[in-house]
Amino acid sequence: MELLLSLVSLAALAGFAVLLARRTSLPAPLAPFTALCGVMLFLALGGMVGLLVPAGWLCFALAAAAWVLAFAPVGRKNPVSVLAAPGFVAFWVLAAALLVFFAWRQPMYSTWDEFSFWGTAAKIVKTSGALYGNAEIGWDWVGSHRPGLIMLGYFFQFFGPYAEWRVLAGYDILLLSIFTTLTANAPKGAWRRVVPALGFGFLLPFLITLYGNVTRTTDLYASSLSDIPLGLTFGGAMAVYYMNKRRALWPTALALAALCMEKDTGFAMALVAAGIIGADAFLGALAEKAPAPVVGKTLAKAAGLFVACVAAFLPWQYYLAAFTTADTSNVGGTQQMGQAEMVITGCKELLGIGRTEKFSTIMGGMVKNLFSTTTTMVGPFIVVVALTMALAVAAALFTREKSLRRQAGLFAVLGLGGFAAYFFFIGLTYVYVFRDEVSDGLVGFERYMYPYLLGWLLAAGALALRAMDEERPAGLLQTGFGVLVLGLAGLVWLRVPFSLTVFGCGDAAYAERRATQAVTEEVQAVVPEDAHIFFVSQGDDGSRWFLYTYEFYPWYLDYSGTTGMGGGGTFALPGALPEDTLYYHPYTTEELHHYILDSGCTYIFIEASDDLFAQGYASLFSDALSGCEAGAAVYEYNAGTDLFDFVCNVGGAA
Amino acid sequence: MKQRLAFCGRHRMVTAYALALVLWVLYALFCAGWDALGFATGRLHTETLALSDIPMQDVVQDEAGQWVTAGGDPQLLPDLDQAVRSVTLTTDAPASGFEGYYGRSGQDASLRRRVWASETAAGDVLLVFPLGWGSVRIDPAGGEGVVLGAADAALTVNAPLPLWRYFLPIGEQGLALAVLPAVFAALWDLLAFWAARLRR
Repeated sequence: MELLLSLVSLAALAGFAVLLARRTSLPAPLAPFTALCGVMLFLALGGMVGLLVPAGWLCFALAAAAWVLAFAPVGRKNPVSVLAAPGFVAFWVLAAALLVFFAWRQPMYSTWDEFSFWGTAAKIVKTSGALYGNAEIGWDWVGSHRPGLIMLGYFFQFFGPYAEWRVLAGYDILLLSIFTTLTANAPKGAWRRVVPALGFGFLLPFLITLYGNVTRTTDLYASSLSDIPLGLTFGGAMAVYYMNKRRALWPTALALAALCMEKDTGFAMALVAAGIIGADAFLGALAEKAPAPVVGKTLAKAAGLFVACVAAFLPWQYYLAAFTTADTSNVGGTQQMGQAEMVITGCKELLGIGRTEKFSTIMGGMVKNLFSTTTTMVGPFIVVVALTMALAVAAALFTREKSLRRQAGLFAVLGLGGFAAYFFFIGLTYVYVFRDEVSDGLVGFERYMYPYLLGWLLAAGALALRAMDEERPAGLLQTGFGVLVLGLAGLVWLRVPFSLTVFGCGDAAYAERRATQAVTEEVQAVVPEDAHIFFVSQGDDGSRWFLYTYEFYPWYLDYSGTTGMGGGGTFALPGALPEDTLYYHPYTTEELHHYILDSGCTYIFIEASDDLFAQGYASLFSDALSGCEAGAAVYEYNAGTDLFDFVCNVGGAA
Repeated sequence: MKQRLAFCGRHRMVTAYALALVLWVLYALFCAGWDALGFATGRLHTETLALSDIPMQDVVQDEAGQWVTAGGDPQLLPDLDQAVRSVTLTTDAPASGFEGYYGRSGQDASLRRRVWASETAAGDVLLVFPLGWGSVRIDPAGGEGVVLGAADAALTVNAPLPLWRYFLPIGEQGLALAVLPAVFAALWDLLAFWAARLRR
């Protein structure tokens, strides 16, 4: 049933895409991505004005109307044959196949950030029918948490119950729609162009994101994190421009607005893309000696790209400030700086004004990593940069179109400048935002660089594919590109065993999650939904707490611990552990007793106890924690005895 | 005939997938026939192996005599004198924990030669291996403390498979079925393009 309801969402998307393909000049393969961007923005707007569910219904009603309008015998429309574009057809077949596969495979979230935001927010939105900003949950949202991708997941499970696989399928359908943009100009039956184009897009996340040890192989194409969609939306925004011979800017504006709503760093990337495309459009008009009014109009449209970025970025900030408790005043981290202040300070240090040793060390380390560390499957980042340049040069060399040669050159130069700016911006976050233990080792450096490289390479691929329309000598670029993709596929095949991917993995990949789900259901069976639950998992670094916060929702899991260090950790009497131990909650027995009751918790879920907990706090429990000897246990507060009574064991111990 | 070939030439992708489907059905029927022939000639036979007769690692008997995983990498290493097509175990342990590795005798286990277990209608754990491999290793769980069965628990090797099982792709066969026809169609189209161009 869930599958059928997800297919309804896909059919709704098809309504918008078919309408765009028939009633606008947009090539059909660009339509699904453009439509998805529109849907994400529409639902995000609906959520911000507090009308998410009505917006959802309206969205589906509009989709039904779109189907009618696409085929209504009124007005000017493109022939039905435009819908037979091979990329367009392939997209729907692949999207439907993906839904069927995921409905069977049932992939699940697995990483920290999915439980601390992306997955939890998706669950909250579906469960509550409203945005997550004011949901009752054990942590404060931060301003960087944007709703675009959450709305994507919501769209694919608007009908029916919440299911993780539906969210994950929504993400993949977005990626598929982006890959489909690469096929925009392939004529009917030209599979020699369509298959390599789709293959190129599909392989990019494997090639770029796997080597930094930040993406689990099994999570590729089964993750609700934003990094890959962010990067590919960035590339997709440029691809919809380059693949459209009419150089329409509105699909790009829509894509850039969606990019800004995916994550806060999307704004920086959107500005880069707006700069590249805006400059291209303006210089194109100048180079073609267009009349002054046309040049002016083009300039205005190019400026409109920036307006679209700001128009998408600012309302969310206002929404957070006005309607939620989220902190929007700074980008977080050690220096508590605003984004603008961070950039200004960084630029000063770059120019040598008050340059600190930390700045020099971190920036030096990043530049070194660019050349020396194998961060992608094809080598260091500089190899990816070279590959991007090579594709742009190939596009310029093998096309007969003079304008495309100019576009490829401009893309290479401005894209490189954008890369340098983005690289510098990421460096600043290490200098001013991250804790020393993170910035010293440039932890996660690859992860922050991946989105730009993904998108940039995708856009370069778009240019190369566009050059195939009028290539010289005919067939050479098509063959070369096909060989390149075959080579990249071979590389991925050699490096990544199929059984380690979501497409070939077994149930074992999700066995642990299923076990925690089973535990959660057992706890929820004995705890009322409105109760607050105190969480004890000795030795936890926060991951179990986030995991169970997600699993329990809408049951409320308390922050459970000392300020700034709660949300999992080790409870022990003061002095039992060195004071600087991470996630150590030093409470006396009385203090913990008061803390639990003051926080409104009437139940305690002890996922993992140990000697430290037993020694310090057994006297708070009527059975002196003997119930925990068998494993995880639930306790309930008894006001009569002022003690916690054993309720039951859960999980394997039950 | 010429018309049909022309139709195939115009619809290369559909033709490639249809061809793949036909080849797959033929391959599945071949496997089923080959196994049936094996059972008829004695090349394959169903045998039951008590766990106590199987070399193993990180699997022990507890005080009650139950077979329990006891370390980080439990393995069952049955030594067989026939090719292995399937292994069945009656157990309460979750099928999701089981995985099988196959290869030639003495060959190291590889993630590229791995199959996942499924649960049969009767609740047994079933591992199906591709045709033509003689040596298997079964990893029954990812960690310790998983009860595999009572003292008399046994593996059943090469229990006959129902015909429909042969049509289910194993591991990378599914990937091949999904991707190779598309690659074939693209190559076909590219070759046709060059052929036409060179003719001009």
